[in-house]
Amino acid sequence: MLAGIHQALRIGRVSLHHPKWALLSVILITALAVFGISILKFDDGVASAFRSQDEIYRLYSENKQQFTPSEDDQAILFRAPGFDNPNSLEIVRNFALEISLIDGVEDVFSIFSLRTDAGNGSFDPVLPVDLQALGADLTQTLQQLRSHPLERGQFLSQDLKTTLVLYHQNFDRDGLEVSRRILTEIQDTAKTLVEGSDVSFQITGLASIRQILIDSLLGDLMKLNLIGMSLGFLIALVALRSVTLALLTSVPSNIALIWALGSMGLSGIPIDTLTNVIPVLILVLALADSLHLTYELRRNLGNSAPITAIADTLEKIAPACVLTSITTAIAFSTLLISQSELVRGLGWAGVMSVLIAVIAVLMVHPLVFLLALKLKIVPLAEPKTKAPLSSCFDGMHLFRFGTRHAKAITYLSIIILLLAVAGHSLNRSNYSFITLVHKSQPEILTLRQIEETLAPTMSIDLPIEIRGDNPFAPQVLQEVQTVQSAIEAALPDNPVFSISGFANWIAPDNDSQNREVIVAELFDQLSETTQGRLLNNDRTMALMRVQLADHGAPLTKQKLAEIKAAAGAFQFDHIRVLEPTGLLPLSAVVGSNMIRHLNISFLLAVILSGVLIAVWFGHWRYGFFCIAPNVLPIAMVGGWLFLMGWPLEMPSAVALTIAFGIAVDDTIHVLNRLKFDAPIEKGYDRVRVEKAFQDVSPVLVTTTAVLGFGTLGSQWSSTPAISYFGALTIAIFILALIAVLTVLPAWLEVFSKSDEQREILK
Amino acid sequence: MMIDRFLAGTLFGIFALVSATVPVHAEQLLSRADGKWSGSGWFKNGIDAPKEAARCRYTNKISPSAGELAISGKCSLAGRTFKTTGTITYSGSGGRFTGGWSNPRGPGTISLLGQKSGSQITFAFRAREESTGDYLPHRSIWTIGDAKLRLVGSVKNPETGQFSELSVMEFSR
Repeated sequence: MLAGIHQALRIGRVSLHHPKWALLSVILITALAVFGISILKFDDGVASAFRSQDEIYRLYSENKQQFTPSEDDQAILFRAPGFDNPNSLEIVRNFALEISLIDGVEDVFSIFSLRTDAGNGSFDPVLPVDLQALGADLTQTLQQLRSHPLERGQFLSQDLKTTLVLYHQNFDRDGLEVSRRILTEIQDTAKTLVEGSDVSFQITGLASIRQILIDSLLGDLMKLNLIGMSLGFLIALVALRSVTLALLTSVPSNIALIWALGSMGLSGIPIDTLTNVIPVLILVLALADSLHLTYELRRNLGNSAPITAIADTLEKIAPACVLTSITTAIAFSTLLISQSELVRGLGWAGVMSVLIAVIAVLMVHPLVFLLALKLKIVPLAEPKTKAPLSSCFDGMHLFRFGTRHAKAITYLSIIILLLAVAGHSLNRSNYSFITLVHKSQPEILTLRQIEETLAPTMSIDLPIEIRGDNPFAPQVLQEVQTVQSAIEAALPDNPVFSISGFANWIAPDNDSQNREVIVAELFDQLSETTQGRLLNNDRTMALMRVQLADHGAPLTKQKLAEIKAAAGAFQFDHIRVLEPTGLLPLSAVVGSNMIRHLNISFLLAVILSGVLIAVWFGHWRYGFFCIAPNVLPIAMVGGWLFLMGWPLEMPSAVALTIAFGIAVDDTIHVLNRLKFDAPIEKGYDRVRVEKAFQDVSPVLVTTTAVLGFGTLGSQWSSTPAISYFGALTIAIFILALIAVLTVLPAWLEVFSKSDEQREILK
Repeated sequence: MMIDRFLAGTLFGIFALVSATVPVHAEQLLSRADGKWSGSGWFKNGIDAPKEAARCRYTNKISPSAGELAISGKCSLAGRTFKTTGTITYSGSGGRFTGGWSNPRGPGTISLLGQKSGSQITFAFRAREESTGDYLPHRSIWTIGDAKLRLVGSVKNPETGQFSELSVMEFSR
């Protein structure tokens, strides 16, 4: 690692002494990066969020291979003043029949799919072809239909104003483009049929939600980065008071962004709901490093020739830039312990991008300014007069406040730190993948309406092993019915479906001698997709599906426990009930574990960063003094979430780890300056410490403004998780600045002075 | 399934009808059926069964050199869909047609013979009837208009000796 660091530090000098080769290299690498951007992939992250080597994922994956997964069901909710109007009902029937003909659409279910035993061995549709002929009886027919054993309130609401059509599509097999084509064709079919009527419709389901996520990723990528670039540039302009300097300072960060994005494209790491935040973070981090270099360079240009000034700047600032990038990379690398492929992908993307970005800045910044100085377009000296708002970029009032009330601030910070850490550790976690999309999105509102007026849209699956017999044997069906009855008693609001329910509908008379034959024959007439909802291909496993809504991980876990208790109360000879599984249980259990691992990641990041800082600066005191300004902001935000009763979710857990890795940069730049001007290990010198803070605080304030405003674009993201992540990181950046300018000087006053020095100062 | 067999025969007949209305040359007759068709109507599963609403889409491809029309499509009823394929060949004389129709989920392949008469064509075939289990005479009568086709399928009721309707479908381009 040290050899690598030395190489990184030399990069700037190579640009300085061999500018033509450096320029050629930059052009070639940028061209390669542009190609990488052209092959960038986009992924909604829903599949990879829980993909892992864990047993629970293996069970889920196996279950999905064997049975027809409910998460591939899409719903079209129709609304009308009343579906006892035959014209409105006819529209829904025509729609259900028409979409059945679309390639890729499997198994369309609606109230028209419901059949009843005609008494002569055949099953006839409940609703006749001629709906008008029913006249006043239509209302009664519809009400009776709601008590059909396969309906159970799922497809028609009690007030007859909403009805559901479900279809199944194999998203994993067909992919996004096929799914998009199907959704478009379904949308067009519905629009054509409802035109001129009082019937309205809305499509929802996981496929729609995944499409929303993917479609929003590219838009977000452009939006976040454009806003980040614009606001970052404006801050740099105000701070540097020079358009030329601001433009030149922005060049390295823009190149860093291109290289980082290109590396993701070339390495196959997709832009997803988490990694979408990487480009804007790289942009603002690189701009922050670039600003540090520019500030120092401007200071040096007053005293030295251009090349010497650039070399001195690199000497002083480059190590801090490298160290800040390494600590940020460490924070990202701790995500690699996560069970989730999605979170690990963020870790890899972050590590790679941050390290590439610092190389880009160290290579390009000296090159840009060398060329600009040769062309004499750089103002050589700092402006003599202070610009308006310049005191806002000073930060020294915070320093003076910290040193004036050093003891109080030190003790208060320790108390707050302990309390905040305690609060954060007590905070419960929650995960729901519906939160990846805005609550106001029509697809989410429709899901909620379906759950309120019809039936829950998600499910917990209970695989049942059939021992030796065929699944329609009376003893097997009896035992399956026992499990189903127990679960229905424990969860009366949750519909349950199984082969037993199907058999009860087909042949209610359990004592009938040829019941087994009748049920088997009719089962064979079902489509493969429908059969897959009840039995696997070789009919050695049955499926019991319990429908429930997604109201967050804690409630899902409670339902899981109730199902396990109900099913586990029996011993059977002919069946064996296995562990419950499905996307909802997976997200609840793995999601909670994911957040727990993210907390561990954060702890690792704190420890490793502290050790690295101590080793880098060559004394344990540097590691000690970075505790307060680094950990306090994170602990305070975590504690605040606990006080507000907001559970820790994936965006917040990721934000705490990543923001820590960035917030530590402020401390590193201060400690770096102290190392040169007022080494801590040599005792406390108030005047030299103040001078060091005077030199570094304006640039810290500027870089924090850049980080904060640059990340502000996240508030316009289509993904709530990104907006939440952005809001938390901005809060952490501000708290980190206050901590490094107030708490760090206070700790230096209290802990680094010797008793003799304190006596003298008294 | 009864409906599958019947569907096989009736839809096969449509495109024979299209061919039959065009004067003499097989290529001209068959090429008129080339393209995409969609239709709606109803089917019955048996003589006494209730009607069930249905919709169908078909895509036909003409092979002029072979004088053959390949038919492929899908029909939907509530809760079920059927895919069918078939070929129709103009026999070359006397307004006769031959062909075959296949439904993988149904009875397999049916062979048909068709005869043109004025603006109509009638197809005849025998198929197993579900309720009796017997092979009974079936027929499909097709009437062709401008870019529209109408088919009426029926089976000979063994009790009455009369043909009872089993399907009515209207197709357009």
